[in-house]
Parts: sequence; C-alpha cells; structure tokens
Amino acid sequence: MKYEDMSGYESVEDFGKYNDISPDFKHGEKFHIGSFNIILHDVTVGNNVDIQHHTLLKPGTVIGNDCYIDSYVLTSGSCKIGNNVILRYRTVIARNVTIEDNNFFTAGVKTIYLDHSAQVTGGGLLIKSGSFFGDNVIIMGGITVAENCIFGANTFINKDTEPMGVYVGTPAKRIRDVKEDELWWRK
Amino acid sequence: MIHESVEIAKTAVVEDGVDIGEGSKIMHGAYISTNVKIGKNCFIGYNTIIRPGVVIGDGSHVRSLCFVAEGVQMGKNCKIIQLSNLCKDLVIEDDVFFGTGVLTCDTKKISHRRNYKPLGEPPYICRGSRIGSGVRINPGVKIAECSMIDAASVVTRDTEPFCRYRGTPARNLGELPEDERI
Repeated sequence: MKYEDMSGYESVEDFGKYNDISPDFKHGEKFHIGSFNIILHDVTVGNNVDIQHHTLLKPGTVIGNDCYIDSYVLTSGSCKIGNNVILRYRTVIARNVTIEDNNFFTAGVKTIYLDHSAQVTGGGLLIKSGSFFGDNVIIMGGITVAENCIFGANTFINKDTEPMGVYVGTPAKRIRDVKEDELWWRK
Repeated sequence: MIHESVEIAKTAVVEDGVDIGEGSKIMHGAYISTNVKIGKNCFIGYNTIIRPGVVIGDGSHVRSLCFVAEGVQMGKNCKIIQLSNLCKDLVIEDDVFFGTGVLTCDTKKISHRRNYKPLGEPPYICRGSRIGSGVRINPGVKIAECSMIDAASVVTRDTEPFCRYRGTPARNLGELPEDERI
C-alpha cells in the first residue's frame, strides 16, 4: 500500500495524521499528539502532555501531567511515568519500570527488563524523583535509582545508586556530590 | 511471493518483488523495500525500515524502529530489539541476539567529499552471540561464536569465542559458564 492511500487512517481531529490509536485511550486537557504514533489499548495520559511523532506506547502505560514525550520514544507496557518528566528522542522504557516526578531523560536513554543480579527477566526498575540522565545512559532492571542524581553520557547503571551523586562510566562510578544549583528542575 | 497467512498492517508499505514466508507478521508503519526475502514465522516491528536485498531467516524477529541497510544477511532465530541499526552488507549468523539500540558501523574512513572510494568493512556476527543494549561495534570487527558483550560497551577488536566482554573499549572478562553456551 502506498502512502497516498493512507489519508484519514484513524486520524483524530486536531491530532497529527496516520496515527493508530486504540479507542479506549484516555488523555487529559491540553493534550497534543503528532503523526505516525501507535498507541495500543489501556494507555492513560494526564493533563498538559505533548507527544511528538513515531512513538509507540504499549498496553499498561500510565503517563502523568506536564510531560513531554519526544519522537521515537518506545514503552514496553506496564510502566508508570510521573509528573513533569521529559523523555527526549529514542528513549526506551521497559516493562515494570516506575519513574517518579521531575526526571529528565536525554536522547537515547535505555532501560532494560533483565534483572542484572539474578539474571532473570521481570525485575522492576524504580527511578526516584529529580534525576538527570545524559545521552545513551543504560539502566539495568531490578535496581533503584535514588533521588537527585546526575548521570554522564554513555553511563551503564547496574547497581543501586545513593542520592545526590554525579555518576559516570561503564559501569557507573560516583565521582562527586551534586550541588544544589545543578538540579535541573529547581530552575 | 507473499504467503496467504502473512499478516500485514494497513499502513505497512511492502514494495514489489518481496518474498514473505508462512506465518510472518508485518506491523504498523513498517517499510519493506524491493527484493527482500523474509522467512517463515518472522516478526517485523512498528515503523521498521528494511532496505533492498535484505535476507531474513526463519523465525527471526526485527522489532520496532530498527533500520536494516542494503544487503544484510540474517540467519535463523535471530532477535533484533528496538532501535538497532544494521549497517550495509552485515552478516549475522543463526541464534544471534541484539539488545536495544545496538549500532554497527561499516567504514573506517568517512569519505564525505574526499577523493577516495568508500570502503565497506561491515562487522561479522557469529552464531549464538549476544550483544547488550547500546553497544557500538566498530567496522571490520568479528564477534566470535557465543560471545557476550555487556551493555554500553564499544567493541574495537575481534572477540574470542565463549567469552564475556565489557567496557570502552571492550575487555575480556573471562570465559562464560557451560550453561550459557549453545
């Protein structure tokens, strides 16, 4: 099938074109969505959320208020995203992941479903509030990321972290404490 | 020839001269170019792009938002997870696993606006190897049989069979236990 034949396919008024959105999708006020998005059943989105293009939201995804979901973001379902979370492009949210408020994910941050310690699938990942993740950070399942941390680009997080730390490297090492004025959400 | 039992989503684009085997699934927004051969029981995910001349073996999965360049040869029962980038003429043997966002590079010299010809040196991925999330594989590297590369590594040299690698550049962490070999 060519692109010309696709006009009007499941496109909702005031939304972008060519979206494939499940009828039971719930969203709050001031909601915006771009084109080529796929939203499967049982997805809920809060108020003042902006979803860009080519995203894939799988069943059981819950997104809070004031979030920004950039292009090519993928969620694998059963995940919870809090308020004021920014997911930049190519972020991947795995299954059983919980993200609390005020987190910033830059381009290409990936979370993994595999539990590193037990080497079994199914470990939930908990990301507490106020952290900043650099480009291409990779986070293993089954761990807890503490509050107000900063992670450098290409960091591989495979263990629990302590609050208010700057972490870099593969695997991640703490190099110093975070200063109060470095927290992105305080501005 | 596209088999009758193949499920193709309304918005997927499949060009002429494509062979798709029995029981395969093509999801929303996928683009499959000319002369592509896809085996039985394959899965092509959402918004994945497959360029001309690609061969995908039986039972292989290429998940959402992958980019598969010209001439990629993929064996049976491979699994390529979301956002991976497979470079031109890459060869992947059977039972290979690629994690989220694996990047393969195919040339050592970037020839943009220079006089020399681009020299394609794709990596070679042997049977049963497992590549973690966000790994970058440099051009010309041979990933040996059943190698395991940890997440966020950068592989710059050939690996040894049945060993585990981690870091930038990837270093050998010793042999894998017997139960992880196939």
